[in-house]
Amino acid sequence: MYLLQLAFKSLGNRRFSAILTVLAIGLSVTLLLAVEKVRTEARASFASTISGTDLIVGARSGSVQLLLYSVFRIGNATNNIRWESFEHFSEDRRVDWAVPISLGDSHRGFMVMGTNGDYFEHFRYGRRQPLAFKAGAPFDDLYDAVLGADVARELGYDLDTEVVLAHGTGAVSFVDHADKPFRVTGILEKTGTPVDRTVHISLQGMQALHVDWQQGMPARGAANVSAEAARELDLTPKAITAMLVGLKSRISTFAVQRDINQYNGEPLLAILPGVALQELWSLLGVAEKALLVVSGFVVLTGLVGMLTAILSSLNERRREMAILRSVGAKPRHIFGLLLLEAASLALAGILLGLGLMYLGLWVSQPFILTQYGLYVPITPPGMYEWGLLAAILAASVLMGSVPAWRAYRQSLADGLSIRT
Amino acid sequence: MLNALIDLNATTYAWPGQPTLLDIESFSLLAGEKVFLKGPSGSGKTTLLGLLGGVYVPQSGTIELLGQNLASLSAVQRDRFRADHTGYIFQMFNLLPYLSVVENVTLPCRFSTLRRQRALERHSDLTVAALDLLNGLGLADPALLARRVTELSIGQQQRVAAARALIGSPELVIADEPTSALDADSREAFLRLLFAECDAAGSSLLFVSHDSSLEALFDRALSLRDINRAATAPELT
Repeated sequence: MYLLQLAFKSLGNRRFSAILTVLAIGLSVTLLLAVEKVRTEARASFASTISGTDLIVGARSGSVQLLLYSVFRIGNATNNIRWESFEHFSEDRRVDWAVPISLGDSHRGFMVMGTNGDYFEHFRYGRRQPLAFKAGAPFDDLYDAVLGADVARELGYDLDTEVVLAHGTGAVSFVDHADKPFRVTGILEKTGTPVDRTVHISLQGMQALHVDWQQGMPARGAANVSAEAARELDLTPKAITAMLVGLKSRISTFAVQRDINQYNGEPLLAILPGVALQELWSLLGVAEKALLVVSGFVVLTGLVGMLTAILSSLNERRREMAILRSVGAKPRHIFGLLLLEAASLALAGILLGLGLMYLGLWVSQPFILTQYGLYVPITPPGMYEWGLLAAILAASVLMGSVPAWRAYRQSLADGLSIRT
Repeated sequence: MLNALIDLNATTYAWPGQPTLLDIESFSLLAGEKVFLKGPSGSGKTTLLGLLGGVYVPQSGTIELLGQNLASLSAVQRDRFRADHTGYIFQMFNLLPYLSVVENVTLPCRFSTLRRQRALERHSDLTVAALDLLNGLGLADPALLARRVTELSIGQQQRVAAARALIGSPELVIADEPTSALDADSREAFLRLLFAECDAAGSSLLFVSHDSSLEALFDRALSLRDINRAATAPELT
């Protein structure tokens, strides 16, 4: 115990370099814990993008691709599914509800999604939370639009704002639907999912936009159909991009999935969102692991800094060691003293890192919630975090044994003679 | 008759790969004796102190401390033996800068149970024992004792070192040029205080120095060159 006191006092005597060392370790530990926190929260948030949907159905492609465009609004569908297919499966007796999704247009970088009123009723995210309206109501008229929270906030839109949609999904589009503007009738609450970045319109509205188009280009002159004239036409869509399906009983999931995949009408693909999310996450897992590895190396750098600080102090402390030896300290006391120093520095660094992480979390929590819709709860470190911290401490003790061993050898060689 | 505290018998030592540095036919120091050993630098003085401290073991011959042959003990046992029975005073900067005056003095009691027990036999606790010794060495002023050891004068530092060497009444105090950093007047004053406290603690004193002006104060004075058969011609400087 007295050795620990000595170690503390000796460190106190070199407090400037000790504080710097603790700071370096502390910051690296903060980084590691923060990366770990973001990693787990991002993963949780990712997994909660969609819930309560039993199957996602799209044209036959890959399951990850279908998930990406239907849920994350990333990339494009290779093909559409016919409206007849949607009708066929939505009337299946095992199906509780089916919501059509049609993508392909955008508004200033935000995806436009055509759907019907059922979407707001059946779509679930997180822990089966339904979508809630911050203002207004679902679309009713042909040219009504419901905005995700981010769309409204970033573009400064409010209810009754007129919105002109653009063809295609690029942030900058050269072809727009200026002849058929939409009116904002509802703004959704923040969900922290891609819903926030989506403009929702009715399928019929989507159809009206393209009713007069020919070969991917707007009609010119007489062929042009005005917004009012379009109301008179049959706006039943011919095709949709994907459909979300809820089943009456989850037991039938695989049977329905098989039926859809073997549908004779056209090649379709049905995926289980949970399975596809797992598959996608395992792809992203590489980046996630890389991040963890990098922060691991930062911690290692911090520890190497500590090693350097202790090693470089050894020479000027030969007198201290000789004095300790002369008053009866054994070489193993010298070894223990230096090991305790390393362990104390690392422990202080770890505590500082924990403190900084929670302080940072506490300060930035509201900001992260409003900016990214990510609620990062302040929870005590889990088993994994404690394991990481214990590993850091163990590594520091291991590294501390290098200067400790040197001092041990040195004090054996120097004996009681003071060399400086 | 008094027992020999230190007894060297045909002791030789050479550093690896070097000629024999020390070859001492016989040297002894009796309990309670204060001996002046003259040794210029390079004469093997430091090595001799290392041998007496049990840090090194002679190649041949024996070193007995309190009748115990040091070579028959393990390194750990020699460390404990040294801590229990020997106090050291070095030339200068004897103190750990991060400990208080009293903490520096009580340091040997942290590593030697025997010296701790001895200190506690006469005093209620270690701090009292340290203050008593410091008082005897002329360091009684509380303001002085509250200072950082690096803020004390060299003479004061050496007296703190003497108190540390004497706490727990070790049988032997080895002083290695403790006065060389002091001026002539304070040297003698320091020695008189040291002698008085050695007497009070019942410790023998082996005082090693190249400065023979002090040797008259001691019970006995001898030169390392005279007892060391391996001594070479005086160094050319």
